[in-house]
Amino acid sequence: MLLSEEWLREWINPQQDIQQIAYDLTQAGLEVEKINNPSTDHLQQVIVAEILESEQHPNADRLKLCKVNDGTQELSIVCGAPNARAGIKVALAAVGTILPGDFKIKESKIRGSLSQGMLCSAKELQLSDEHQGILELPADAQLGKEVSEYLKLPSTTLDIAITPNRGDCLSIRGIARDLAVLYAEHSVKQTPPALPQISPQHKDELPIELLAPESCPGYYGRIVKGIDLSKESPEWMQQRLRDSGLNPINIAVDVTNYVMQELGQPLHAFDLRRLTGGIKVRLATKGEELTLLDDSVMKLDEEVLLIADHEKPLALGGIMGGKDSGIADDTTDVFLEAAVFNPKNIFRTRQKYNLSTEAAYRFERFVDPTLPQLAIERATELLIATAGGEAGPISSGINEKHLLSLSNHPSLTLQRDFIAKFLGFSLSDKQITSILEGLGFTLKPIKSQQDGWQVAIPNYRPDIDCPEALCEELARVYGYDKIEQTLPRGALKPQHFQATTSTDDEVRSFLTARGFSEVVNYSFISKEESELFYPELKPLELANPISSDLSAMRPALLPGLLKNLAYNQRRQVNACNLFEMGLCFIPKDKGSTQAQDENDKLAQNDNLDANDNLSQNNYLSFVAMRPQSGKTGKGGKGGKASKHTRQEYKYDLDDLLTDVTDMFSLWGLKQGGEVVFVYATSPSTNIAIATTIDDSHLFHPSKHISIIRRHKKNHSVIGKAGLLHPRLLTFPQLSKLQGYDLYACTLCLDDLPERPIPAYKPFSDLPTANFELSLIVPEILIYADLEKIINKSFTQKPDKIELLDVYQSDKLPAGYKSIALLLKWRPTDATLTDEQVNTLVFDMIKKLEANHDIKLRS
Amino acid sequence: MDISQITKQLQESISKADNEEALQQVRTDYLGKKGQLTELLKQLSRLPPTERSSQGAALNQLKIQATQDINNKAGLLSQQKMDAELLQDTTDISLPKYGRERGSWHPINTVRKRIENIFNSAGYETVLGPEIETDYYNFEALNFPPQHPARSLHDTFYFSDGRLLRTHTSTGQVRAMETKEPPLAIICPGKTYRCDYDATHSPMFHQLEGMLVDKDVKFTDLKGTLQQFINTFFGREMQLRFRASYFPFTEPSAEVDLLWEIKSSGKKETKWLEVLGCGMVHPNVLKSGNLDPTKYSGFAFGLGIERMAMLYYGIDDLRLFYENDIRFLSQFA
Repeated sequence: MLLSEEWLREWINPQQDIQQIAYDLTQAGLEVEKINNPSTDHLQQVIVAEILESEQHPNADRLKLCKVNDGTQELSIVCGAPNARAGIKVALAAVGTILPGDFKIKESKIRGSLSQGMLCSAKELQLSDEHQGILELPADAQLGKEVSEYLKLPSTTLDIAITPNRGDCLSIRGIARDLAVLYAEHSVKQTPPALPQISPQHKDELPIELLAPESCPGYYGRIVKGIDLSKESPEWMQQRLRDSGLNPINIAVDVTNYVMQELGQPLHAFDLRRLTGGIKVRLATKGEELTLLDDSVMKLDEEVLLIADHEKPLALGGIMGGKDSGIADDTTDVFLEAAVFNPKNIFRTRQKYNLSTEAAYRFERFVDPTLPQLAIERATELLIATAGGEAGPISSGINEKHLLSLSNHPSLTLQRDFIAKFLGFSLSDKQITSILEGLGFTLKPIKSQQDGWQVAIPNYRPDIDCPEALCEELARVYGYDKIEQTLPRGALKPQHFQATTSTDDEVRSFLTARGFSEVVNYSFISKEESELFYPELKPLELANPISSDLSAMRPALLPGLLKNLAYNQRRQVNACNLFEMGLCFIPKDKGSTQAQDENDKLAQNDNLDANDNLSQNNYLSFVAMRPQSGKTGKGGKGGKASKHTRQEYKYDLDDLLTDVTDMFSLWGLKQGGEVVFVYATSPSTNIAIATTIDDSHLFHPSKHISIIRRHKKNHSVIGKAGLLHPRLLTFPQLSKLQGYDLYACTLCLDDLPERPIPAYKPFSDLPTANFELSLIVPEILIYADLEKIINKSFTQKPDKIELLDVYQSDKLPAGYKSIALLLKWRPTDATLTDEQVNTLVFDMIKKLEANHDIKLRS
Repeated sequence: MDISQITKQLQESISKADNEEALQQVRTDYLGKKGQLTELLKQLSRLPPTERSSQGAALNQLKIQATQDINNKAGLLSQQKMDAELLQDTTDISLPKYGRERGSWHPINTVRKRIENIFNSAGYETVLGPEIETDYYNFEALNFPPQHPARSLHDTFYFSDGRLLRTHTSTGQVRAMETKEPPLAIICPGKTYRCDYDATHSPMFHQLEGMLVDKDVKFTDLKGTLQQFINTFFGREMQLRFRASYFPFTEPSAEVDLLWEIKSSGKKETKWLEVLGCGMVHPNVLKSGNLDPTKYSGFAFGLGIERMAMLYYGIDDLRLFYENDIRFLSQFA
């Protein structure tokens, strides 16, 4: 709310300057976001002058030639204003004056006539938007004086962010009331203007029927006849409205806005000619239409509250007037309305039709139900004083029951002990009563087990609904900054810290040590992007996204990470290792949530839990980008570049799989144990169920692994790792990544266990029994499968198999390779003898040669 | 020749020997078959018995000493020879290193962890919650009645089934009360969402919620706890300003401003910056968590992690956090 200092000081005039007032209001919960100081410096050089003569400019139809007296001399000035005429006092910017916009007034010739200064409009002086004519000053203004002495200047204003609980402070009156309590110790008294009752001068009134008393339990109206709307509102009223951010329109509308800003009660003025019969406050019929003041046509539903007459709807109750019944230039008789509306109904209609008005803003935050009559009296007074006319009696429609339930708030018991116990500091009885009574509460002492007060709540404070709320009133007026600091006292007990955050953070430390940097992406991506990466999946879409780019919840981290790579590549980064951790969102039962949504649209399912028919699991993905081999001739199996050569450090599939393997130690898991890598080219075993999104199509068909988590009963795929499919580089957002190899690992972290405590196993100092072995195996047999076959073929399998060498040569039969292995048996009671080992290996080789295409290399 | 003269000569010869050959010559000259000491020892038997034993002891002592000194010198010479050879093997170890550089935590997570560590050490347990939430945990259980204007304080992202993206980590409050008994001290960090997008607002941001519920928790405890936290976080005594505010789920409610020093065009200025919101847990919220407000009281606070990170690192643009430019990220390694 924009609060005019000048207006506020009419109601309460403390000695404190506006900075101090702003600070004190902010401390007490009425946050001043900004102090607006209108600059009036430029007015210092603008003086009062009188037009002595005004005649047509000889060479221009629209210009006038004026003789002007500035109190010391006569000047000749060319002026284009239609109202420039002899005898009026005007604002003169003499030669040398600098007006806003660095506009310096110079002596000049305009169409051949000398002009020694400028006669100013209100707009040119930045007083208002009025630019139709020059500013006319009062007839008694003294020539040569500064015009500011005769003008209503814009006031300093405070931009206050009123919180939704303080609807009572959306007015000068409300803020003055709070300020009076804050400055009570300085004995600052409120000085509100007298609010008289207007005695009726005629008997005409409109009958009022309340047909929706729950939404509108009280409606008041008065006919004022014979007003003259040909004049504008007085300058002081226009200025206060402008200071408050309200545009002056005509006297009738200005008066209602003025009273709303002053007292907090929104009012409406109808043109009496447009009303037929009387007022019916009713709910709309379905499909009923109403054209609003802003020309928009509303198609209404049965919950919308209407102000109607006996024939037609007139206005959206408490929100906006209708176009047809509004005040026109030739309106002479008006019907002034002020009513009590149920905040919930206003909130609903405003939200549904996306309307935003000053009236609705106040009504949904609650307006004191005892205000309407006072507001109508005040509006009548101002209207008659400025536009003439005769007031009739105030007629009303009231539903006692509903009105009481809105205006009466249950009284509260405030125990003296509770205040100190809850706030942590004590206030004297005198402080307590003076603060609360100043705010409008009524305190009655109670004598029971614990002394305290029965506190009656004023009509305008429905937000005070518990003793804790009364404590807040005490604390904020007393001053939060005066309150001491203490530390909680209670039983200290060690906490069991949930492992997820700490394991996540261990993953962060692991990956950063391995050269990966963490990114944080938005959890939403575009629907198109989601469908491009995961065509099988219907993504979860937001009902009200910020833009189509951010409309679908991400089903995986990979699209974001790849975009980050492309972003950095465009900034001359050629090698990049990134990772991200965070929730990903996947509808369960592919696509069915959307279909179900259609059914549920009308009856939103309140019983839906956060994780019903969707999964939001914690994922980890890491990616590495390297220029494709050959492009930079980087190290590898061929020529080895010195590590001092400026080039991207090597990262390849082996590095990726090493990182993945090592990472599992963070959960105490071993590759080959609880976690198994299934190689893309291994014969499919179909042992695992995919619990995560299937992203194998994003990987190179042969150069990736599936990461399987083995449970007692079933096994699940928890991730993938490998070289990404070159097809991804055809995606438009990744086109810059052509020429790069992209490696990635995706992993669902929710399926991983808390790291177990390692159970100590005794070890022996006896030497291991070793056996070196060279086998000739088919080229297509991968090592992981060979190891499995060997293990299966042993009667006592070795504790460890180490790879010594993979050898390919024309000396071997075509289609075969040689693999050299070191087998190790750990001693338990005694080391195996050479003969025992030989027997074991010999038996194993016999099985290999019998059942597989594998031979011992001689 | 007397013994002291030989001793002196011997020491001179050893120290003069600057290579292994020269030292070997000294060894031969004194200790060899025809060496001076050997000769003298041979001549012992010709001495009268009275002189023989004392002269014998002195000569033997000298022989032992000489052997040891020559051996020591030999060790020294061999070491020097090795070092001289090694010095020939030069490498430019000042060449720039292009290895695998350490990556970096995202600053949001570094700061989140820093805050978490402070509260964990004070006995607050970390809990997490879902980001797609129900209206109940995000609003209703937190004393935002339906059709209440306080809801317009949160620009909420909705799904068509009525669920939403949590607008604050305060969702952790009632979720924690449902599963834990007082004394209850939790923090709940995480991502939060609001439909607001400009230079100073991001549709996704990070918050950390904290809550303590016990018997006799007081408003002054909240002030003290937050002051201690802020001091610990910044590593120095900071000035805080508590002012009245409004959150439906706390009563009394407060905004906390931090007095911050800003250097603008060489001049130091101080400014109050809003850093967190807090208050005493509203009795209706305790009831949502099945706790009796006449028995228990508590405080809660919520702070923006981005804001803390911006102050901590001097970052001046919120958007940098989500651009994931490696030139930004690598500064936090």
